[in-house]
Amino acid sequence: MTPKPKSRTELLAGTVDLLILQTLTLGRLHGYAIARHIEHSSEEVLRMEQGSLYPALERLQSKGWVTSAWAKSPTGRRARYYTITASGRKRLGQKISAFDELSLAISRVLGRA
Amino acid sequence: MSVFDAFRHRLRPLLRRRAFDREMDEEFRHHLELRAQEFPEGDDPAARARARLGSPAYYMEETRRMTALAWLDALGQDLRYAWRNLRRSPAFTTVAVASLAIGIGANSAIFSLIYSLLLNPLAVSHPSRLFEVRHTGLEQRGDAFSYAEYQSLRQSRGFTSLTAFDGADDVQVVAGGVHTSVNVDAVDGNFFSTIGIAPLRGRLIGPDDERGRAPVVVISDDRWAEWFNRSPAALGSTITLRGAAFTVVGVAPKSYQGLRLPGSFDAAVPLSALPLVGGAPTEAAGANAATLTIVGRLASPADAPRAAGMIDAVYQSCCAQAPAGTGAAGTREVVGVGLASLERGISSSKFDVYAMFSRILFELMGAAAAVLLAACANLGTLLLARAAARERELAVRLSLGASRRRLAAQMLVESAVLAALGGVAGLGLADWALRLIAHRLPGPVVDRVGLQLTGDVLGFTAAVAVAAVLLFGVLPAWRATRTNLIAPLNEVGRPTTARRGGWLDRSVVVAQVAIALVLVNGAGLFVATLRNLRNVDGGFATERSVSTEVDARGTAYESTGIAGFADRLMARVARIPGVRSAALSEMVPVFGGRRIGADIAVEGYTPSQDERMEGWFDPVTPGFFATLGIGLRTGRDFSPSDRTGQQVAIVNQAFVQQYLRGRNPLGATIRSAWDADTVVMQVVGVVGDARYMDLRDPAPPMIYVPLAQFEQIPGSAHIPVLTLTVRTSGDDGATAAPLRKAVQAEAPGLGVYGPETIEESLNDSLNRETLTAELATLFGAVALILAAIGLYGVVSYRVAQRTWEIGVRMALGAAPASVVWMVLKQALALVTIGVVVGAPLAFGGGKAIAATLFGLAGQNQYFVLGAGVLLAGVAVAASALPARRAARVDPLIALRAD
Repeated sequence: MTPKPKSRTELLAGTVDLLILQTLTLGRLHGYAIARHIEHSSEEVLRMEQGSLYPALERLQSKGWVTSAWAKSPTGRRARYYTITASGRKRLGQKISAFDELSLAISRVLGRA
Repeated sequence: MSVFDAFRHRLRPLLRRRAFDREMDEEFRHHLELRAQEFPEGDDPAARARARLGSPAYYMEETRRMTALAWLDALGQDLRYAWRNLRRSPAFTTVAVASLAIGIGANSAIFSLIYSLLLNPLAVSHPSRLFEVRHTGLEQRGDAFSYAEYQSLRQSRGFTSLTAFDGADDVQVVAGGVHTSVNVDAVDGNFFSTIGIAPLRGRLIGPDDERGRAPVVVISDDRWAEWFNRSPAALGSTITLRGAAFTVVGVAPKSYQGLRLPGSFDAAVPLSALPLVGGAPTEAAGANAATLTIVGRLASPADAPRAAGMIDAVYQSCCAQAPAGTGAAGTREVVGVGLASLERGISSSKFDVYAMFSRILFELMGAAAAVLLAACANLGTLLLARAAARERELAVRLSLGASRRRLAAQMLVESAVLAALGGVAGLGLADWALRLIAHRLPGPVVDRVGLQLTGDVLGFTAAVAVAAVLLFGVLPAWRATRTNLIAPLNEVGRPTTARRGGWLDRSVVVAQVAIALVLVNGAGLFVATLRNLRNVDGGFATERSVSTEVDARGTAYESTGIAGFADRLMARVARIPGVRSAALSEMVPVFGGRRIGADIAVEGYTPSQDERMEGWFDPVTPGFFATLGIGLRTGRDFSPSDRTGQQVAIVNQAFVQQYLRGRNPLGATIRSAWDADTVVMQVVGVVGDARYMDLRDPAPPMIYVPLAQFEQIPGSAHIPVLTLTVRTSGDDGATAAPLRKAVQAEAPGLGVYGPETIEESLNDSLNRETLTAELATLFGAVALILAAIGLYGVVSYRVAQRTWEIGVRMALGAAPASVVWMVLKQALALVTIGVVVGAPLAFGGGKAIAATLFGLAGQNQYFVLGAGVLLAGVAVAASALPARRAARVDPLIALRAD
């Protein structure tokens, strides 16, 4: 097995988690809906595909922050729906404040705060 | 969602891999379909959606990577790779697995012995809650209590229950047509409920049996098999114990081997029935009745100090001042009682397995550990050599992007596979070794020996295997991660003279040599000890004599004594073809017998203040000394007329040395006390010293008396068991059967046990030493072979590396002999360093085992020297092949190879 070029995913991993967890505070969503919501609310700037969404969901589940279950979608098809857990919400809170700190620091460096 | 759920989630693909993949696939297809709806019809929305989502293979792999599956996949790959690698080099794998198997097997076998003999807890319920009540004080009176003391101590609170047992040894049994003798326990009614075992069949002895003095007996599983072939009809049937009929009411479970170690539970009767099988009546208070062992169960081991305090208080008020001590003087120092854990049983003082075996077992354990160390060192060098050979492969893989961690993991996995194979093979080897060892162990111990695949033994073996992997596997793995990327790739088979990092395998070989030196030295010392013991002049003839035990207990002859028909028996035995002389005696050197002791006074000898003069007596018939080959130094032998009149005695030289030095021993008088009677004996002869139980111990001062006279001493009980010894003119083994027949023809019903040649007795008495010498030799040989393999490996590797250089040398006119010497010199240098490093260790080892050695004081250096010379020889032998190869290097071919 050759090592994957990790730098990109690692850099984004924290942010991807943050976006997914935040999105899931809206309620139970399937993967496409999560991707769609992130694209939509970022005005199509952030694109949640290219193989980062599902690995991220898998990782969040293995950490216990997200659970999933199969259910009927409005179109009548079976779909996997993801839900944020209590510990996921706690984690989201931490992530948001960490992100706020970071963006504030960057803004200060850029002389905008 | 709990942590457990998260963990289970991570494991999900392992357990249901296909379902996991199918669900993932379904989820992605769903995603694609929804995405495709975003694109206008006719623009091949499906293709655009796929383009947008990226390579399904990639993200599926990425998703999987988030689970434990990835890790397991890698492990599986490594395992397959390791397996392929090992199969590709069967010679290496065989050597590696075999040396590991020997190392691990030796450790497991010895540990299993230690476990079953010394560590194994009693097979009773919660053994840690069982305690023995023992005397405490200045002079330990041991573990025996009188019945009265037991009854008083029962009032002590703090125990869940308190019980007691006693026993009688060598009780004659007639059961299911089998005549034999066993040890019988006599237990109080609450004994079995206190120690907590359940019957295998029927019932155990209970309070009603004790109250009713019921002649009932519980037998062990082994005896059930031996006497009744495990027939259910055994229950309710009758067996005879020392002539008294007992009804079999139950069978104890096989795991129960009594409370004493080494266990030999045969049968148990109620305590109140003990007199029937020859024990003292339990109610009898007074001097000699302190024979009970008291055992208590606590609710928890933590209660022990409190309970000990309570029972000591009871003891102080009931018994501490009572004249219930033993008859001998000076037992007033006993100040109280305490509790001793029974978790691992009572170590019987009569046959102290701890004292006898713990020392040599731990010595052998040390040797086994050294063997394993040598095996690991060996494997370490082999693996290093393989890693060196694979250096290019590793460099290529590293440059292609393999992570160093991954490569190291792969090397470790390979080592672990070897260790696992070695461990499994080692267990098989241990089982086989234990069967061999069992032959050398004394009877009562053998039952407990066997590879017990309990958690402890398996755990130990696994721990040893893991330790082995860490020892030999880490180095090559570490080495692999440090592979230089550039050099091996550039170095296309370029011959070199100097080798980088060669110090590592050379120091491992040095360590192997040092270990081998220690083990060979130890083996030499143990073998020399055995030889010295065999060459000890025991003071008796070591061939052409046969001894057998004659047992009159439980027969009509018990009350009259054997002496009554000794003359007739001797006459009959003398008629057996091949018998030159015959004698009866209580004790016979190395064969055994019981020791008879009495207080003595020797005329003209003043004992020092604290000296207690106790004499050992051996009642014998005339002709005993000639039969045993014990030389008469002065005076006369006993004659048939030494029957009435003046009591006579023959003493040995040790006795003369101690009590009659500088005087004419003939005519000296010895007074001996037999209860109330004092007997005055006159010395009529002096014989040479003969060693008795242990050849290591010098002969004790002995007093031989005529059997016919001894039986008439009022205070000396009839001797129910005697040893009959004959001297033969030819094959002593052929005399055994007629001997047995002659005894039984003269006195039907007598027990005749183990006609045994003196040779057999000698071998039996040296079993422990023989076992030690055999195992030590085996370990030493293994260490030598491993060192030889290690030396061979290093030397031949160096030769291969220096082929070019050797070619140059030979082209310049070096003689083959000097090339050979160049190679040998390397091996000898390694051995020399190894010997220098190992010598202090070998001396230390010799000192550590000094207590088990015999006759070798101050001789260790010769053995170290001998081991060093042997190792030098091994080095020469191991480098012979590479040296030959070096000498045959053709300069033309070697130089052209560049």
